Amino acid sequence: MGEVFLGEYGAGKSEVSAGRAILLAGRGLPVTVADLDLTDPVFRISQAAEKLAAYGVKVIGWPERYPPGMGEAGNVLFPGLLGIGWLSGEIIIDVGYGTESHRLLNLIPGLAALNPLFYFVINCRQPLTATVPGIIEAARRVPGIHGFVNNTHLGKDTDLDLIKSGAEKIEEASAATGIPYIATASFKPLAAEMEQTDYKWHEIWPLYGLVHGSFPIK
Amino acid sequence: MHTKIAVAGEGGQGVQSIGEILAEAANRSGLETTYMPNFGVEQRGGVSIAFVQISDRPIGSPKFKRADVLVVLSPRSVERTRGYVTPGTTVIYDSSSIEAPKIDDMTIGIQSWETLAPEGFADMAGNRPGKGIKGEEVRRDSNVRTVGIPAARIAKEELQPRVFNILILGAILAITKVVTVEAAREAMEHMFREKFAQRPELRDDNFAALERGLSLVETEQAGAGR
Amino acid sequence: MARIVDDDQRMFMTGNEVLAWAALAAGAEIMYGYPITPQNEIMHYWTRLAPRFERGFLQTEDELSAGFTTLGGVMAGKRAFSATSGPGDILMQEPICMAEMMRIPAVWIIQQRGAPSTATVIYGQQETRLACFGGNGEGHRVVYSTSSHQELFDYLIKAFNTAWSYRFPTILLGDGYQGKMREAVTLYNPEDHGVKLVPTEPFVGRPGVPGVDRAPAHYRNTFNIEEEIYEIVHAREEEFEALTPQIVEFESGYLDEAEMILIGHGIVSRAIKEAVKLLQNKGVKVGYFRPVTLRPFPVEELRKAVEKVPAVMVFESALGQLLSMVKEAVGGLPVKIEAFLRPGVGICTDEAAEQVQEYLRKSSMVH
Repeated sequence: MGEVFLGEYGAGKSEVSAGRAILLAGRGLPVTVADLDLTDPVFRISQAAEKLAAYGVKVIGWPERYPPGMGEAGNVLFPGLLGIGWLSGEIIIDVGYGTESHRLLNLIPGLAALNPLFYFVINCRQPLTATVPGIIEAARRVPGIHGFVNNTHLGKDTDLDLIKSGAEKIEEASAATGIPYIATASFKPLAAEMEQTDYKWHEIWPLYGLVHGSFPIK
Repeated sequence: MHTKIAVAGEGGQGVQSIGEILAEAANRSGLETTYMPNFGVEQRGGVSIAFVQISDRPIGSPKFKRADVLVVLSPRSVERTRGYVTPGTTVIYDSSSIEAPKIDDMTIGIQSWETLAPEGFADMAGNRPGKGIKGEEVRRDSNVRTVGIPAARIAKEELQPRVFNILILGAILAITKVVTVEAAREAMEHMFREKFAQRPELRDDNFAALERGLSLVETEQAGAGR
Repeated sequence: MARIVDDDQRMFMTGNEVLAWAALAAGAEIMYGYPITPQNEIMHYWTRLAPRFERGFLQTEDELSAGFTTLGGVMAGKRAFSATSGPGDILMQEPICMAEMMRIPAVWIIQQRGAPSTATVIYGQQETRLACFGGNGEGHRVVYSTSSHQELFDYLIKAFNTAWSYRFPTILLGDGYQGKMREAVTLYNPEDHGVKLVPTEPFVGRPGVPGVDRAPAHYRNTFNIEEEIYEIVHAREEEFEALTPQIVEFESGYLDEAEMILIGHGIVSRAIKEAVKLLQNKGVKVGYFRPVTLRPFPVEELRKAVEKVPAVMVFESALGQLLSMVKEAVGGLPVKIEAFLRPGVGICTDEAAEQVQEYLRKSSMVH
């Protein structure tokens, strides 16, 4: 099976991909994450490869300090990505870099064999997806979305009420578009809090802060 | 001996050639010399100035603020260069294109830096000239010598219009005596050797103009000593 | 100008996205740009937002063209801006110099990357000198060096107002970290916060007969006479110096009784402020000074801050660009100048604190 994570630039695709991979690995499944971000040299899931390995998750993509991330200058697809269509187990594809990146998927032969599900990650505290019409418009930019993932947060200022305010908008957008609301993702302590409530979070996916850690900023 | 010469005129009048020949002749005479061209950004037209210094000692800055000899060959160049006049300056001008009163008013009148048309627009654009290089007042009875030479008229009527600048050069040599006529001829032979070889009549025209310039100063045709 | 948000909105997003929203809030009417990492998303978001708010965009063939078209936009009376980085920043210097010469209030966003040349697309502070003194000129421009997403938003609005108030080109100097990182920011309409947008006016094509109804519009960057340039550059300098007290900005803390003052600008100032707090908690007497405007540089303020201090330490992600500005500013004062220079890489709080402690330990051994 394959899962492809899409969303606005900065919505948290890589972080959610990592969280989802750890969740599936925790169920005893063999999980591989494919890093398809060809644009950014940083904020990419490959930076978390070592940490993910500790959870038994394998990452395919350029290791740090290798060719990608020359920004506008054109990038090289990691050859190993060409084979992911024939891998067994759970394949998670982090396309990275904005809603337009789904166009890169045509570079991956055999993708259809994975029967991938396309998940659209939404942070309702990003201005473009802060309203129901905004979410609907953003989702329309990507064809064939199978589900919404709520990743509403304000960094360290996040609490359950804030996540809930995002959940309400995503429910509305879901009703309007017919795209199901699949899961709510949040950092582990908040995810644990969510488990204690009766609110309709759908699935709860804990996140681990693996992608942001590379940044030397307090 | 240290002579500072500024030659100013319109682009195309041959001002820079005068400077180059003077410098080349001085160099061939074993003197120290600098020549520095100065012109605007225009491809053609606009005021062009040649700064030449000739000395028996090493020369410092190629630029100077006061000229011993100022040569002005167009009305605009009078305006542009009047700041270079100081007591003791000899001003040589083309009296066929510049009227004597203009030399009096502009050159010997009140000396100061001003921005003139088209630079006058600078004022409206907020680029006002303010403090900076201010000339001192030069009194009319001060020791500024002006020599008017009807060079353009004579070149047109008696010679070739294109040797106008060489006629001026002759006048400069006669007045300043900074280099000998022989040194100037030698310099021109060297600098124009290819042109002279192709068209020998050019040599004759130029040397005739040089002689005419020299003789003009020595005759009454030059309005000397104002 | 249309309101960009209903009320103040707390958002979580990348710095480049913040800048696109800030430009909207500042009433920017058109962006001219050419893509280069790490500032591409300013353009990406601007092109998505501009149609909704009836603003304009033109992608040009390179940064030279983007810079000059920005000047054209301003001369037509539009609040216009551009954004670039690294090699693009170099090309942008020619139009920036023209803006200095002709007093064109254009606004630039510069997100610094590694240098020299293509280097990295990630981060650096090696365009500090270029932003302040790039091109052929004397640096008659205003440069704000920001350190957080909120500042990106606040200072871009301010940059447009500074440019149009004083008619000097104005630069917001960020970096790849600030462009790409995500943190919380409050978006607001300037008028809700008492910020009035300085009105714009066309430089050319104004009504009336030139020379009769109004002065002719004659903006020059070309001159024939040495002395004329001498006058103009002096006049610019005088005006720039006279405006300095109105424009200059800095931030400082814990200066009293400090044994050492840490100096840094932009994102690095976050690390040194935190390091100072860390050390203060341990009882180490240190303070910090952060120039917010790099042009004009807070010379008087820095001199006053370091007057009674035995030593300062300059922190920057470059090999001495801020350091040389600091040295020039404090010239003649008996202060020892140390530096921690990390071209092209970030500086963390703990390493800044370690550097200071190490220095203080060594200097106390000497005594």
